[in-house]
Amino acid sequence: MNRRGALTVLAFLAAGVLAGVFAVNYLHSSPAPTGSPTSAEASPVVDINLTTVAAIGTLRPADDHPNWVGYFPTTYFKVPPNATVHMTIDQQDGASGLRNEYLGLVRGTVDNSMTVYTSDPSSAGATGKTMQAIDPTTAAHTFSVPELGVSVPLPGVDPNNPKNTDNFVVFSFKVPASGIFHWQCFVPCGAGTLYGNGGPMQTLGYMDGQIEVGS
Amino acid sequence: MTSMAVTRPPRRLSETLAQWGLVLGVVGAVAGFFVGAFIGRLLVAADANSNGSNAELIIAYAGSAIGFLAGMGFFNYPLARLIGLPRPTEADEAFLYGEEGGWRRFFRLNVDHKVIGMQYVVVIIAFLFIGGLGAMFIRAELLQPQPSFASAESYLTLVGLHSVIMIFMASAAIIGPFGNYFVPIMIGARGMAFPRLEALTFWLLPPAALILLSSTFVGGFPTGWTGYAPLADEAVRGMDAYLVAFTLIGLSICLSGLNMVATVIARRAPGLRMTQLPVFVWGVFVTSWLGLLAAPVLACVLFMEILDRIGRATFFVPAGGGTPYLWENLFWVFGHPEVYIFIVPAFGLIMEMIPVFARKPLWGYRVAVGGMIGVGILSWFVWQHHLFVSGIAPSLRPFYMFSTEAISVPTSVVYLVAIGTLWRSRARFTVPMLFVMGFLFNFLIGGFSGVFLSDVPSDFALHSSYFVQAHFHYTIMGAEVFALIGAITFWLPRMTGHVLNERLGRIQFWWMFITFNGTFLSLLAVGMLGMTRRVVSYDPNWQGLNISASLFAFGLGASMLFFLVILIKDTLIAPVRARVVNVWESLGHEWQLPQPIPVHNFAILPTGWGLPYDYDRDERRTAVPGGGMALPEGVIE
Amino acid sequence: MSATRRLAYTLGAIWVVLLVIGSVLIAVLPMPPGTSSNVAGSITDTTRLLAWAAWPVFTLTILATIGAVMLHSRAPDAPPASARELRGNARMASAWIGVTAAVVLALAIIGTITLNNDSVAETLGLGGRATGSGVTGGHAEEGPPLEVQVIAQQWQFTYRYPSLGGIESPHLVLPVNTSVTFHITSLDVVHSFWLISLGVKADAVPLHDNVFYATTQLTGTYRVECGELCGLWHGSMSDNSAQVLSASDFTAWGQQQTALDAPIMKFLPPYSHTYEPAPGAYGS
Repeated sequence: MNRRGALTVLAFLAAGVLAGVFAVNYLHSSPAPTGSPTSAEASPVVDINLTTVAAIGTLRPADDHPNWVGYFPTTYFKVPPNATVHMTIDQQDGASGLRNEYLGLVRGTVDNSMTVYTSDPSSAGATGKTMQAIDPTTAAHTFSVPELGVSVPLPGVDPNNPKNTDNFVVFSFKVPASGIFHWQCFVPCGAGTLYGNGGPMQTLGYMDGQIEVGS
Repeated sequence: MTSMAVTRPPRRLSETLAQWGLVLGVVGAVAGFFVGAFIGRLLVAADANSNGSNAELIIAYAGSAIGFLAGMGFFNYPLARLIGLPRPTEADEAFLYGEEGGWRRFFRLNVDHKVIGMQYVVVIIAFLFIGGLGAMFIRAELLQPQPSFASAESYLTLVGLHSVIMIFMASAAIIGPFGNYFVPIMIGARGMAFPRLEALTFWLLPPAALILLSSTFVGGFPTGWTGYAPLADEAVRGMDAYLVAFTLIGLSICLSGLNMVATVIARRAPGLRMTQLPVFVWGVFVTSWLGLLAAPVLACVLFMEILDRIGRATFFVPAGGGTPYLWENLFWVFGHPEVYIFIVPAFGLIMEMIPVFARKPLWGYRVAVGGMIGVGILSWFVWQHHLFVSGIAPSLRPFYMFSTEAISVPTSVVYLVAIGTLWRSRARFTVPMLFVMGFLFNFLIGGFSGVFLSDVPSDFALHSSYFVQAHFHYTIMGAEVFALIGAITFWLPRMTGHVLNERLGRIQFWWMFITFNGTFLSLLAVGMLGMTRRVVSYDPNWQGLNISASLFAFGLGASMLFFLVILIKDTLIAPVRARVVNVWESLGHEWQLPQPIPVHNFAILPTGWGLPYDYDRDERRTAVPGGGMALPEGVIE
Repeated sequence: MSATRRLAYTLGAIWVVLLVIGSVLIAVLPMPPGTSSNVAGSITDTTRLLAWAAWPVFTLTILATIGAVMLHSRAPDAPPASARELRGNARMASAWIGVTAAVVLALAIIGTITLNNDSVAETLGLGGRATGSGVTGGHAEEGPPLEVQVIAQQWQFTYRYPSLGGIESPHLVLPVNTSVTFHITSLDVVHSFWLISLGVKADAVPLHDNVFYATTQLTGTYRVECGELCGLWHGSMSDNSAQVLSASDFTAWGQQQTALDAPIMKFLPPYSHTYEPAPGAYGS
């Protein structure tokens, strides 16, 4: 093979490898999942603590979209098979209302209910209110896993009550033996986008995530 | 103006700038991007996208395209005319046509239609392989019924990039390389009607592709190639890349159509009547009308979407007074003629190749031309078959059902002509002919699968399923790309003087043919079962068929790489030169010119040309015992 | 017998064999979507009819191409083409175009009539194919219809039952042997409601009400998919647990769902065929 031939082959190989590496890198860009079992029995219990904020930049200053609404620290969870996920969501955002009012119903959780606290539920003396539905116009977000039938509306903080800075929403749900399930928010909360449905509503890591069941 | 050597004066500034046009173009693109972004920021404040508004990005992209073209030197001539500078000298013109020769003339603004044809060949192959890489990742991801290595978000962008880049490729795959290269020669012209415009149609492709691919840096786009609104209104800024890139391609399709139509009408050799044009020229001519008339609709609907995104014009948002049906209708008014922009030149191409290898005159020239014109006209009246389940007025549907079924009549003429020409022929199954046969078989499946989609109730079960996906891959990949590879093999000896290895070509054909059918028969089946297109998760019951499709698809990808290896080996690494120019002993006009073809093709315009299919009067054929044709040794087995 | 003639007979025989095998296979193979509803049945019948019409033409075209090619290699004694066969043959061409046009015209006429008139469709064995006036698919049958609203949004379908007090459910549940009227709408972008085995598919378009009639015929569990690309979780907008139940099971399910929905009922908007977004939700 002559010099020109070798160079040609090299150039094509380099272009191919570059394109391949770029593509693989682009496609495989999901962040590391969170979630660790607190008890390793046959039906383990996993605690997941999340925070929702109106602008993710207040918690993650280096974010690509600091003014987007989002769940913190991550929207990727990995949980063991048949686990019971015990979720505590520190909801700090204001209400923007559900598009489909039916999703104001708490579904698919243990007892089809959730408990809402206005102060940290782990602190002494915190008392919560058990709810089976909320007024859809007061919803700030939902935590919904359609494939598992789970949907929990998160009440927004009261704009007329400066003391109400956080709503802690506590609920549990069970996952099956295997699978990858998407979860999302159903409140059109992407402020500034068309009917609130764009931006963070359409992008992984803000109002969309995945629950991967596996050991 | 002829092939007479030009004594070159020392290089002038304008020539040096042109030589470095590509570099200047990149500089211009970067500068244009920032100027555009600046203007965009002045016009519209940053919105919810937090790192810039849609207006900013769209104007920046448009600025980069304009900057690129300016750097390439596209505006020099019109601006010079505008401010009254002297007309270009003969030396300027000679340089513009690349009369100095050498490889560098392929990498700058050059208005020689043959150089542009070669540039198209390379870029079309590049698009084919970039899109093909996307296809491989899609099939790899679909080995699993759940997201594995790609996320749901990047998968949608992957599907979108694969489809749009392949649409870019398919829109120009045959008309770009071979239309530009051979139509002027086949009609006995010295060039196209508007040579500078011709160069522009080509140089719009690279910025369009780069802008499209840059979508991955700004969030990708979720809509696939159809860009349905209002999803496109909601999408992140990657959507802007789709809109600008597709607009550039629309401009290219439209201008290319305009140029071809003008060329065929106005620049035919003296005395050459329309009824004496080679059938390939007719294919290109019909296609060019479609492009000229359909692409403006695309540009218009994309501009409406741009207004929706930057100014909330709500053309497509129901609560704002618009309607998604507006997008669906306008898009498919373009979109359905568009698929005939893909396939009609391929019709012309295979009907051009069959007589050469059958050693028989083309059977039914008038029927062939009439068939293509019929397809071209009917293609305007079928678009609502894309909307059978959308909720359009049901009373409209019988008409579109009928027109869609009716288009199979002019289409079937291709088979009539092929069978008629092959009938009692002395056909030689060289590699291009194998690809013609592959085309006929694949397009038959493509066409018959279309029948099930044309009838309203059966479309309820198949619309938007993998059946549709397999159907249009049969027509685009199975027919158009097969025709493209056949045409590269067929015309390469004429274009560069190289001959591709016959034995490897045969292996490559069968490899590609079998894996192609394996892939898309699996997908036809999984579509009938109910799998929707563009999904990253699917019913695990369908995993078997998906694995089958994926494995065949990897084989298909490998066969395409094998073609690239043959092409590079025989042209660049170990070049195989044709011993004679006319390796296939074609009677086509394009084969009768010297090698290399002079810059302006003909010193004296030809006269007395007729249809180039008189193989029954070919003396060489009758001179060989048994009626076969004698071909140069080592070229045909 | 000349080699040419022998070849022609051989290919003809192959064609007849292929025709018989193919037609039988089309008749006996299970053809999706099946018989779970009257619409599905008519789709299956239509698909079969088209397959029967297409198969002979498909095989004939392939065999004719093969035959045209083989005529030379198989029969070296074949006479060279006569002038008639060289540059075209107006009679042959018009025959081809005439026959294809007649087939197409016949398909289109049958298609159009059966699309508009159910009694003709039933006479031709294509019952259920007809579309009632103004609807996307199917036509209402005798008996009281059950109205079910399909509400699509990114990325889930919910179903509303006005006859059950306007309750809503995340899963589709239908009674068997019932004429169902689907009213399909969307709250955001274009989706497509696809109930695969029942042959129901209609786009869900915001502020637009698409109507589709289907009569359920078999109980079972079915799959729902979204048929139009609608964004991030388009691929996950499926549900494997749509059910067609017996009448008594459906009544029981209705009571159960009413109880489940009780906490939200007072917040649901009145039943309507489309739902406007709240004013001010437009985004800046």
